[in-house]
Amino acid sequence: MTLSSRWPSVATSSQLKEKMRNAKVLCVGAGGIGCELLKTLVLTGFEDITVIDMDTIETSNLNRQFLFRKHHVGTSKARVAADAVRVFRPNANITVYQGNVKESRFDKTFFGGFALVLNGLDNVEARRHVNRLCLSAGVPLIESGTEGYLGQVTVHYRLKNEAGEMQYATECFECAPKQSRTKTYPVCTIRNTPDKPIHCIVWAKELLFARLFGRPDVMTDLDEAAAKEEGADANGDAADGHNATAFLRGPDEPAEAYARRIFCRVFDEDIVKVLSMEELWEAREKPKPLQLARCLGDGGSADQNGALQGAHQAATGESACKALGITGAYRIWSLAECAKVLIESIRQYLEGRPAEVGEAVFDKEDDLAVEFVTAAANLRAANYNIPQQSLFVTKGMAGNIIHAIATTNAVVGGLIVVEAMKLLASKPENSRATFILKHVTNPKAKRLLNAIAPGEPSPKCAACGTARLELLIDTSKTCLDDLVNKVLKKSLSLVEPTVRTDAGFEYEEGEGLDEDEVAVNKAKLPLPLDQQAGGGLKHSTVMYVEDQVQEFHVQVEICHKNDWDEEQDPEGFRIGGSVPQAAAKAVDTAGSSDAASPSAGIQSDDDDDLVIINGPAAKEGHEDDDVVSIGEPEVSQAAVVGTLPQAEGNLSKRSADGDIDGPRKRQRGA
Amino acid sequence: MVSEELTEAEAKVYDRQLRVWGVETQRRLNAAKILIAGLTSGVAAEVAKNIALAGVGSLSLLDSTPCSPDAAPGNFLIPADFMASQSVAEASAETLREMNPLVRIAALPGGIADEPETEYLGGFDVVLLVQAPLHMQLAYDKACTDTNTAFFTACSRGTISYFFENLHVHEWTPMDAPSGAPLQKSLASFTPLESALQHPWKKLSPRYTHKLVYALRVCSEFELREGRRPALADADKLQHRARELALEARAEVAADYPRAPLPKGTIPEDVLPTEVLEELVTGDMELPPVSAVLGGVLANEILKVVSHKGEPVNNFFFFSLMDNIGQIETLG
Repeated sequence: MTLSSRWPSVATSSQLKEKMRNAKVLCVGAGGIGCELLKTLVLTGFEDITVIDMDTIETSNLNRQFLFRKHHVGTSKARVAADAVRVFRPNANITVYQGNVKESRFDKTFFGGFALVLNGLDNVEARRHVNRLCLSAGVPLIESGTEGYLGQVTVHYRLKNEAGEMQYATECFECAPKQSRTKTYPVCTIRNTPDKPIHCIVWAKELLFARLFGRPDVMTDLDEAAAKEEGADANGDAADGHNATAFLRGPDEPAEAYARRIFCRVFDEDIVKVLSMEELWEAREKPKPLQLARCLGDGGSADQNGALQGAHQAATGESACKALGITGAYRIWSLAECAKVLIESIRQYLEGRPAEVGEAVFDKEDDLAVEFVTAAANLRAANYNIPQQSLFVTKGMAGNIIHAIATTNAVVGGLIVVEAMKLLASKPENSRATFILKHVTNPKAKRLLNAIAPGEPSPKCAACGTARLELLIDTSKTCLDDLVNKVLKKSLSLVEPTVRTDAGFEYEEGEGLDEDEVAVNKAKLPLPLDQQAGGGLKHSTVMYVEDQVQEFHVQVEICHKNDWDEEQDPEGFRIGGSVPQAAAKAVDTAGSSDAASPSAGIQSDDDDDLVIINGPAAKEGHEDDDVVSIGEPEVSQAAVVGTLPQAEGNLSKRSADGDIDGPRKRQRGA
Repeated sequence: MVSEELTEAEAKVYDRQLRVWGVETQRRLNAAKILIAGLTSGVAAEVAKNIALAGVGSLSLLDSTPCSPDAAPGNFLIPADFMASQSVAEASAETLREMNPLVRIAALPGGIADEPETEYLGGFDVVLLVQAPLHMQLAYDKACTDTNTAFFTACSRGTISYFFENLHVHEWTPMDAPSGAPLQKSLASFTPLESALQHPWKKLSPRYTHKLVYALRVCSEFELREGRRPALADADKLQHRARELALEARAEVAADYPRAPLPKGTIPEDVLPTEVLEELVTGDMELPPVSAVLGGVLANEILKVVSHKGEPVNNFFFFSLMDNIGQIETLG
């Protein structure tokens, strides 16, 4: 081979330069990775770039999304990023779409128009969607992710030679299971027996905030569970009470009096009630009620007309801490401060934002909402003798904030371009999966970046292989609506699912249906699975599940299972993989570590950077009746539901080679 | 311990990174004074961007090269419609100020001196020299040693890149403590660049040592002797010298084992693959993705140094497109 046709020498060749100038590439995401990627692409000589991003710029982006300035806050990331790179490379031809990559206009034909797709996405659902479209359009995909100091770039393609034979094939994005950061908590833990800070934060955000300021007609997960649980037992109204009238403000009730009443109700009276459920405390430390007057100190109850300092000023609805003169986002507030912030934040909401009350949705960028959740979570933590958290930490946990720094994104952006160059130079044999490590892990070969050959495609992959999945579910208690929304859309990341069985059951969604058809399909949703047409969706029924936009199809075999343990499986179903054509066998529910679990995505996270994607799938967030889901900044400690069968083997093998990287290792230990 | 709260503006902008390194580290960064010399390079632009975003106290840029269409092709901080009256440092500083108004950013007068003033460099906590000739790197390293200023020098040539780090004696604590345990302080001692470049090959383990270590050694010798960087035409000469050094090392090993064959793992005669040498000597223009990777790792190092948190790279870091591996080598 001559010097100039060999990798890496070819990287500086004029032939490659020409190819880069003409290649149409698609960048999905213009956030943390996207900004770095766009910059490095145009500097390297790419001139035909399309960018998709639906987000607008936020202040907390500015520490790393270096193409944005303070005056851009609130405007489109994709548009501003494109304008910003044109400042130093005016010849770059950048097409901008402000939209969601899952929209139907970005279909197979759209994807098929690009030489390469480069992902800088922030959630697993969208990444799976792009993966499936790249598979169906036959376009190579370069994937990436960062979290703090960790990051990785992987390459996914099926390349055929001129005779149409498969020449190079790597694993697709879904061949290996993905770590999700979403976590679910049993509702009884949240309502009655919290024992971790996150339980208190979930309670404050999902229950108390929603109850006081959210839409009254929307039952939260917790309400529904409470109603179910308490249907037969009128006295069982323990820690929150579905008896929502107690939370209604009286017609002439002053805001602060109402706030004090709420305090007494949830941190005092409800705790007294829950204490009466003696069986809960046989093996647990008993909670302690909090008296408002004691929390506030002497002056607390003396002045009924608002003894709180600052509370005489008109509420602006901006911040309770500012009104009270309380500072310190990084320290733990005293109990008195928590009580004051709770009462004042309720008053600020009611008086300062009356139009929002009854409509509010928790937003981690909203100071007042974060202050309320911090105060409420810490008061509840005091009830249960759980460590309290600063406002800063509470905000991170409640908002599922991904830790992000500029340097890792810059390295990842560079590595994506390196892999793009290899593919354009027709050097797929040089493709690498590259990992950025936080620490040196091998004292002999001290590496901060490690690289391995891309993995092989997994024949058992649901996206690119011939997998048949097994779904363990209670077919008499689960309605079709839950199957469609929680299993197919949430857990398997389909956008517009179609379901068919050999016996004639059919369910369809998506464009192209007329009104009657939509109504017919909709009518099926409330019915339990086993009462559906065609003899029902029952034990050992095989469903043909499809998403036409994604060109994704998979067979799902139903295994009926009742008596779910809520602690172990709060979502009430499991998805497992099995060898194609294998005899139907029930997955061992005690420890089904071999079952497949294509992961659900990150929930409530907002940020543009992403998660580390390799590692065994952890239990995912399912918004079931009986669970509350929330992201947690730490790697989930939830039980492993399953991994795609091949992946565990791959991980061990790589580990044995001494080539294991930080992110994987860390997650193996999680 | 608590010196002062971060301002509201800092807390809002730095929120995501505070979750990575904490408030105390941010305060230390906010007090750090950094100098970057050599703004025609993409690596310098990458590092400047990364540490300006992180929020250091002051960032000074040194390079009097006038802006021109070809002066700094890898520096994305310089707009295409630059003012011809500006130096590359001035144009870069302007963009960086917009990027993070919370950092004091200055383009210093004058150019990069062959013999830097010791006092001048001593005014900074960290000095980074980018894409400079070797004799200048050695002079800066010496001057920074005299004032105990942390010194970095970085090169990005074609598909190959590396940086050298000299922190003299540096105290650091790990980034994460094992659950709840107090952070153990460690001391790291560094070697001057001059002796690092003369690292005896006998001590290198050929199985793990990055091949660029051998290439860099023979190229450095060449540059100091000839006063210019080697070109492809010099490859044979360099390869000859590499073989000579390898043979010397083998002879030294043989002296340690007079009556036995050379142990397994002794450096082979042909330790330097020709293609590695060729990549290093033909590397001319910077490749932006390589500079982005090097600049990211290097900026992380500067942040580690200033915050005294995290084990520093002691003392070379190599990254090349041959294998995408980024490896630390301790030389000297």
